[in-house]
Amino acid sequence: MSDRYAVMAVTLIVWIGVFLYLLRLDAMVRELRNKK
Amino acid sequence: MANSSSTWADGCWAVLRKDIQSEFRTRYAFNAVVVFAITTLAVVSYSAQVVGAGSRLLSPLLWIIILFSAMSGLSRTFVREEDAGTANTLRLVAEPTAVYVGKLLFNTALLAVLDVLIVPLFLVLMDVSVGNLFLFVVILITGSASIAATATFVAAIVSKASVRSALFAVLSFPLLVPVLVAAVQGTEASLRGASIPEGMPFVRILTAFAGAMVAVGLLLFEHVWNEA
Amino acid sequence: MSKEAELEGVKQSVVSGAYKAFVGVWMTGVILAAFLYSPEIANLKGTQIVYFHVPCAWLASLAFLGSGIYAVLYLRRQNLELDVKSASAAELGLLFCVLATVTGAVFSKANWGMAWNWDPRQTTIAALLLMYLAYFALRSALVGAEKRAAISGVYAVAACVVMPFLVFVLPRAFESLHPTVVRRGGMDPEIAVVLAASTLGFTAFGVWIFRLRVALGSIALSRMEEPL
Repeated sequence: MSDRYAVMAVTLIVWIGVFLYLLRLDAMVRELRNKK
Repeated sequence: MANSSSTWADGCWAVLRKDIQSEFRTRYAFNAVVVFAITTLAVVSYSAQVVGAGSRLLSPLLWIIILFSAMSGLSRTFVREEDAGTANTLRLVAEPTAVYVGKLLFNTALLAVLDVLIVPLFLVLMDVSVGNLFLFVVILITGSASIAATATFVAAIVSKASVRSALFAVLSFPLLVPVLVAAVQGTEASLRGASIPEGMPFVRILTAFAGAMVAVGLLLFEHVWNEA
Repeated sequence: MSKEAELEGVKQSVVSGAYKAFVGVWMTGVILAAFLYSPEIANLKGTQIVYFHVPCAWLASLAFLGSGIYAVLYLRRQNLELDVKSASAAELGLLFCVLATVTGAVFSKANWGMAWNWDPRQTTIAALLLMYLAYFALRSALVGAEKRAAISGVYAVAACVVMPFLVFVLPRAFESLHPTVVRRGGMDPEIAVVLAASTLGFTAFGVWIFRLRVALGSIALSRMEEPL
């Protein structure tokens, strides 16, 4: 049973990581765009 | 430019005739295709395990031979034009779709000749008994037509790129997956002696695919042809 | 910047910020629901992966379609921005295709012991993967932005035409291990809801990534660098 929670925790962490990374990319692109 | 349908058909016919004549003289593509097929067949039939093996093994084997032979020869018709520098003349003289259909017919004829030579040889050397001959032939025809149509289309694309022969196989194979699956299964069914209704799904898939590929080629060829 | 433009800019940031926040919260919710709310599916193990696998496959196909559509638009209008979109869509599609293939293999291994057995659906996703890879191989072999855009665009369209054969025709024509829960009337509401929510969230997420990628590509294009 606790297997399930472990996998869920990992999934959530991975997702949050990916999401934050994309937010960062988004900000970088925004900066590049405004510099032009 | 005034285009009557007879001029267009003349264009196709002229391209086809030119390719056939050129082929007669040099046997450029023909050699590649036939030599490959016969060699593969010889090597494979040399092994005692394979001869007389069931349809589940022989069916893919047949199509491997046909497919790879096609891959080794069917790109020549376009690549030759680019290499020899005759492509630009052809562009001036004929309409794009006429060129395409002419070359498509050439490749189809080439593959048909290959089939006529290799398939009986295959049946004899591998000691194959064909359950439903009619179905077998129909699958062979529709499958080969699909391969020829796809190969011609990809050949046109590849003639514009740098790494030709490797690219030709890389681009063709994914497109041909449905054809291979349907042809192999269909041939296996025909060898087993399946009835015609049983084999119809495969025939339908192959016919639809061939039709779709020819249509796509006709519509898009112009964009490839006119890219310098 | 004028007052109106500034206001416009602020409004846009708020909207896009809300969009991203929504995606973040939504997908977190989906993950929680997948593990805590949804029941197991029909005696299969590790079915939570389904909520990831299915949207990935869906997005891969959608991306392909998008790539083809942008390719057609490019061929008509000759605007290189459209080519950036076409290639970006293909890139995303490749990513999701890899994810779908891998998750499918993991699921297959856990449930049936074999990671890969050329089951029709696996063949389909593998062929899709090869088509994407072939597309990028073609792009790298072509020199010159317009030429690259036109020729790879033509291939993208051909791939789109072949895709229905792979996705719809093949799996129907042959038996597959792939769960047929997708057919009508097969799903518990709890499962259906989470699946739909996941697909929706993934699509929104995918769109966001796509726009980011296109923005990068456009910037590179305007600086006359080779974007893709």
